[in-house]
Amino acid sequence: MSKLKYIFMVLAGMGLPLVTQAQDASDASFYEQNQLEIVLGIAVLTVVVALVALITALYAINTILNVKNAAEAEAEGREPLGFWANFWDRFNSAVPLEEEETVMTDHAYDGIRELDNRLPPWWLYGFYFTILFGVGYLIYFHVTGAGDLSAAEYDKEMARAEEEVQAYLASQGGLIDESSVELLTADAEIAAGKEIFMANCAACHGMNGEGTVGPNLTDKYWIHGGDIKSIFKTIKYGVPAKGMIPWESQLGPSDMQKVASYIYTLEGTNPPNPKDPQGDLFEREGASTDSTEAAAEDTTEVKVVLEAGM
Amino acid sequence: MEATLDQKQGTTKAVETFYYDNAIVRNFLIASVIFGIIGMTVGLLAAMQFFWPELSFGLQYTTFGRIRPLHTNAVIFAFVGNGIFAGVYYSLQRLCKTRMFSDFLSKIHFWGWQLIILSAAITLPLGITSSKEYAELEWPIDIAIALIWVVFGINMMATIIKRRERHIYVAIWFYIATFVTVAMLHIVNNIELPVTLFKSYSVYAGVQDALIQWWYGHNAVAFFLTTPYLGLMYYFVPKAANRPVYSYRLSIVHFWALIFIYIWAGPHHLLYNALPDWAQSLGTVFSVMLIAPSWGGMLNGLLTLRGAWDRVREDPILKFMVVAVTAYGMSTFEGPMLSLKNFNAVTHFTDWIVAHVHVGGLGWNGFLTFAMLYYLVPRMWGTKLYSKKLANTHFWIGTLGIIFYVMPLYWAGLTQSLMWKQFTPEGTLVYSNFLETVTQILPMYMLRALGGTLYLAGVIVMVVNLVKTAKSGKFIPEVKAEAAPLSKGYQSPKSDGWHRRIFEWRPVNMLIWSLVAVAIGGAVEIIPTFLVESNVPTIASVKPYTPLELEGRDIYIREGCYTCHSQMIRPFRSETERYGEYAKAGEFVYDHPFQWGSKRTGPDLLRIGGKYPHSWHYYHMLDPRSMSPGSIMPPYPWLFEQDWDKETLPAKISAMQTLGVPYEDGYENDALGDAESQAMKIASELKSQDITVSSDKEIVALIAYLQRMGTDISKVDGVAEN
Repeated sequence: MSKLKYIFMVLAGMGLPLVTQAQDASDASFYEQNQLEIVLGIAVLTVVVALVALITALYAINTILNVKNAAEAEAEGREPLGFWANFWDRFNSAVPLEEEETVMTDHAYDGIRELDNRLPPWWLYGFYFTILFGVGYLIYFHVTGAGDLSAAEYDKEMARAEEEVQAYLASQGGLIDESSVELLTADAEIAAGKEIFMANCAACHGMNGEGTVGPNLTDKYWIHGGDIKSIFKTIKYGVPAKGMIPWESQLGPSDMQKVASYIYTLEGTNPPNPKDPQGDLFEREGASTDSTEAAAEDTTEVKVVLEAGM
Repeated sequence: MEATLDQKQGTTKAVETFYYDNAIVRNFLIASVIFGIIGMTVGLLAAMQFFWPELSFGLQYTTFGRIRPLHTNAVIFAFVGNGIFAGVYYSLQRLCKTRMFSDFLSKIHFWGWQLIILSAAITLPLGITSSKEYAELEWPIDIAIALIWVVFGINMMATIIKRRERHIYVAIWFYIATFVTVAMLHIVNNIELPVTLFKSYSVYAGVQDALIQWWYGHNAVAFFLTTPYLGLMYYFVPKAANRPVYSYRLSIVHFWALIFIYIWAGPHHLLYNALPDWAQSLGTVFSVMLIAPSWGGMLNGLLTLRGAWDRVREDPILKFMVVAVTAYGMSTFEGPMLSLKNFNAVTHFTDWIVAHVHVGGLGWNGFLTFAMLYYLVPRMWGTKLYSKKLANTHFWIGTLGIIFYVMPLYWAGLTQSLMWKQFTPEGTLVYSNFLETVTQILPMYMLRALGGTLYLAGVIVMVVNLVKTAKSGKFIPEVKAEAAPLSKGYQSPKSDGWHRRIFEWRPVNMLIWSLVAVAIGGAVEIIPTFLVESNVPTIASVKPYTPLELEGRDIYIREGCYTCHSQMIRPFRSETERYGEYAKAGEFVYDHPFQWGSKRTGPDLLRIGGKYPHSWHYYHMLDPRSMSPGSIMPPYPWLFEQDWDKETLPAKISAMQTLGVPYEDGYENDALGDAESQAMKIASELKSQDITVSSDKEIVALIAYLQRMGTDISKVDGVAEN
């Protein structure tokens, strides 16, 4: 039993990374955030409960049969066979050890002798079953065509997903796109935008948007426009010819809105090592030094939020 | 040694005296242990590179992509391979009551095999590879393997033919099947066209290459790691337990069922890949049908221990055997489950598969080898085991090592796969950045390395124990035995069963029918894939690689990128959303060899072409973490120092032409010029992104290939029919 305990402890230890992952809280509901963990948790729990139940049941049967077995043995005047040995022999329809000579062959190789026990019935019928399964499988997929092959399965999966997404978007009052997108200003949303930026954009645009492979996002020069709608559009569709990938398949509309809003706040932050300006001077309405300071403050707050979320 | 006369033939022939050759057994045993330790150490290094990428040491010879093949080849062909030969040479002589046919062939076999291993250990870190998993070695070594294997086969068959025991025991059936099947697999899979001494191209391309490779790869597991070890089990388990084999008829049924069915199961490595659906389905159903034949072996092993279970508690040899056979049963049940499409969809390309093969490798092959070593060394040195306690310690450390190896990887594989597949309600991937799913499972990789360390520590404990044992005794190179020779004109009595009459005293019959049994499955799957055009629908816009791209592809192969990156987008929403349009069979018709990969430690690369600017790849190859913070990919600085190979480029183009790639006649003369101008163009594009690089550097060729990958298909409207 103590061995089992250790195994469970090890298993529990292995679950730790999932638990830590579960702590990356955000505004989504607990269930949405932790769907994976919940499903896995339920699966593990089910298995554990099933195992405990099975062990208990077997223990009970063992006890009962041992009594019966002992009684039979006493009646026949022989040593009682242990539960497992008894069960195992019957299960495999093995000739009992004492009667082994009845199935002994005359084969002997370097002192190795061979018995000729029957094929274990469960094994044999299991084999037949897998053959039937194989035949059935081929008929189902390739003769009657009832089963979906890879391509059809894919088409159905995509159609079903499309339906679900549309239903969800309808319930959310429609899709945010480049014509309807609005600048977000709430600190939490900008912070979320920064997180998305760090994970996806910083590699090419620099940790502070100063530009490396991709252009500088902190100056007043924009190649594809510096207003929120243009930034959103550039993120969504990318500029594949110049290496900016379209993000619409990887980021949802609201994520693109958040990161576009964050990028919007970067203008005028003057980070170190800025890349030379590219594109045209783009004057925003009402831009002032105040907004620069505000953005800088935001950044520190964001940092705190990020660290707290680690 | 007892000298039983064949009583049925009532022979009165004089008993002959002869000697068993133990020296050759000892040589193979020692080689197995030494290469086992080396192979496992390399494996441990590779395992630690997952969470400690600096362990590449900044050297091109020690990156994961190059030492992973070194690890797999070392443990399969050097550790297990030498283990097989040791066990076969020991048991075959005794089961046939004769010395090996030729000491000279035995020696050629031994030294030839060790030279092959040595050449593998040199060429693989140098990046000389054909990139076909477990068959990475280049063509000269492939030829050497074929020759030495045939030497082994001749020596074995000749020994069987001059035997003094009328019937051949089940262990020998397995040895014979191993010999013919491995020969067939090795030769067919390694048909390649040499370009230079160290470079060749597979004659097969794309889908066909993949099918043949996994027909080979799967059956390397079947006929190198399974059937010879079943043979060893049939010899050493009854010997060590001193019990009769449980069921002769089970041996017959499971032997033939196993070798016939196993060969069909290869396509389960390519489920949801761009392989024709019918071939995938055959892979699935034959894998499921394989459960019982595999378990037949397990049952015959375990049930042979009936009546000896009290000794299992005390005898470390039997303990190792029980765990080995149980691990065999576990992995042969798991294999068929992994071949079911819905489970495969979750586990393929993940660490689950790595865990699965290590249940078999560490449990079945490793533990059975250890049992054999503990059995043989005291007998061959005429002494007793130095310490039973140390052997028990080894057993427990090893078992714990296996648990710590596989459990974290099962968990890691499942976790990562589910993360790959998770969508937001808006229809985008929750973990759109692949790297998030990697960093999530880093703790599991650490635990796995702990498991590997434990297992290796156990092996070292064993070595100490065995060396002390050997030192306490004296090696017995020759063992005297006596037996009467077989009489001529034997006819099998009618009272014998059909199998005994047809096969068991006619080894050549056994050899031929084994070959027939294993040839059927491969032929049915492979031949139509070549001959029936609808299996690989052509796509008009798919064109051959430019010379520079071909050169870049060879660098991709050399660096073993396929060991971590697939080029196979499966038809799942979670993959097409992440990577792009799913892979079509017709896209790979010029891929000699295919590069589909089998494991995604990093993301799929099939549609990487055009996704990022050249400069991204430039910085990423120089230091992956600069573009992808937290990446566990090693840097490749030598690509920025070494020049791509201009010398052999014309020969490469000619070779591709020979293989049917439609370059124009005489294009090999223009190839270099085209390559140089494309390299210049890329260098100038990089220049515009503030990067100065000589167009001769390997990185330029690699960028050319990466930017081409998977882009042809987008040049037509819509996607070709599949």
